[in-house]
Amino acid sequence: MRKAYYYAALAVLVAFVVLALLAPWVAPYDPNAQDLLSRLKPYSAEHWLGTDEYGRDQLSRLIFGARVSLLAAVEVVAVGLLLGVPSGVLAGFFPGLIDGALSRISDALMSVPSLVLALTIVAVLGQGLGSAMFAVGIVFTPRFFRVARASTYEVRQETFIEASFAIGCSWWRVAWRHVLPNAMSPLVVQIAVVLGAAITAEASLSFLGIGVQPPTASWGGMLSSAYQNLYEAAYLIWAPGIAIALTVLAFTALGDEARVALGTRQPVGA
Amino acid sequence: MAKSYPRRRNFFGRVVDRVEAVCDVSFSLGHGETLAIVGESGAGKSTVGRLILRLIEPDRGRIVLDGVDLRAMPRRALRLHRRHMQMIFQDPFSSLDPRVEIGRSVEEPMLLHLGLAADERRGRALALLKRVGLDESYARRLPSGLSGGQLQRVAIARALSLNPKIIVCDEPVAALDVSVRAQVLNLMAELQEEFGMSYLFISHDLSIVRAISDRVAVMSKGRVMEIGETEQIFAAPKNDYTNELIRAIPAMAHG
Repeated sequence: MRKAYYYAALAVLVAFVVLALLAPWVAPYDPNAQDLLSRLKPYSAEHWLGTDEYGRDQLSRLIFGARVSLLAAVEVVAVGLLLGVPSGVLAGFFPGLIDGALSRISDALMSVPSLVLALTIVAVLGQGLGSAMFAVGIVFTPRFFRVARASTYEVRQETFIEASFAIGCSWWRVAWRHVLPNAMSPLVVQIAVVLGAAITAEASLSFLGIGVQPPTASWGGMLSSAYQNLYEAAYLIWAPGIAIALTVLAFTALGDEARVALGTRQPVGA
Repeated sequence: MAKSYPRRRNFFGRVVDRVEAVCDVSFSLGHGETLAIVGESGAGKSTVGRLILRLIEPDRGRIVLDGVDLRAMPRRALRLHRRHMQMIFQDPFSSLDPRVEIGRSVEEPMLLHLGLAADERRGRALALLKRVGLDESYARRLPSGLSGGQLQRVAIARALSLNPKIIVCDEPVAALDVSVRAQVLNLMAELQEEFGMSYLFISHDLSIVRAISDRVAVMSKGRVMEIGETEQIFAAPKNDYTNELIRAIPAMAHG
């Protein structure tokens, strides 16, 4: 049963990624082509998912929107990993002053409501999806930091780390070649979870109008414009809403599966 | 040489009480000699081993290897100097990186210290593994595919790869089955003849110590109680504590 759920999640994600990659070829229409004569049309043979207030084909926008949303999620994770993992390894490696300082910064970041923090960062960096996702990446950095720190600290206690020092490894080499590879598995879980959360974050920011700028399609942006036409064309919210929900669920399922798969691994060295 | 640890700190983080883990320990170790450090658990044996390699920093004292004071050495220089001193750890199952193939683990010290070409390094690693009784097929395996005795052989090969002057052996056979202990100990003795390094052999098992060491230092509560030739210590212990330890050997072990 759990396996089936996992395969379904994997299938959903693969489908979205393939659609996103092949968007120009599989999308029936240009996602930004307006057709004011057929605006706010419900589902039909020509427009499977209907059209929005400018008469743009919803299916095409959904497919192109997948590109934006998935890319945004990847950017969030990349920023989070790049900032969180090195600092986390450093903190786990050097308990005391360095750990204290880095952990306080992380705690401070976590104590600020994430959306507010993201809004502030966007205000500083300027609007646009790139800076919005960079902001979300910073918001998620403490998560990666904490996981990297905890598992580094754990691996640090192993004898083979002392052995690495004994043969003359620099601390840099020990951290990079011996600690990090052994501390990766909890990070993999975290990556899946944050990918899901980032999709939601992109949707929220685009919904608020500070993420993707029109006319570019994104799931959050579609949701936002569907909301504005809720009374005339309620059906418009379904496609982006379900796409977001499915993707987030799929990433979460993947994260759960990774947690189980990696959690039962044999203890280090045995 | 001495090392103490904070036992209690006061409200402001100032240390008000310290544990003397190792106190005024002093000894010398000759070329090609085996000095055993014995004592009950918590006596400070392993701490001494690690202090000598500067894996832990001593509070005071000197560690001299062939006329060079290791304690005065800056970290970078110390790192390069580590090729002369290696360590074999008690727990063979956790002393090798579980994600690194055996062959690569043996190569690593050479990679760090000797400017060798990759294939020459590989060749040497394979030769070392062969010398400790493991054929080429082991080089590609991960530590999880080997037994404790085999892993300890790998650890020995790794320690030998730089032809060190001294190897600190922290209870190298304590975690092994009794049946493979003798094999590993014999191998260590053979290799000492062959390569001429000194062993600092940390153990609580006096029957093993008697078989392998030239001299013995008896430790208790962080201090050396007695130090001398192995046979002399076993035949006529001067110290009460030593006497007690020797009497605690099961009679069968004398064989």
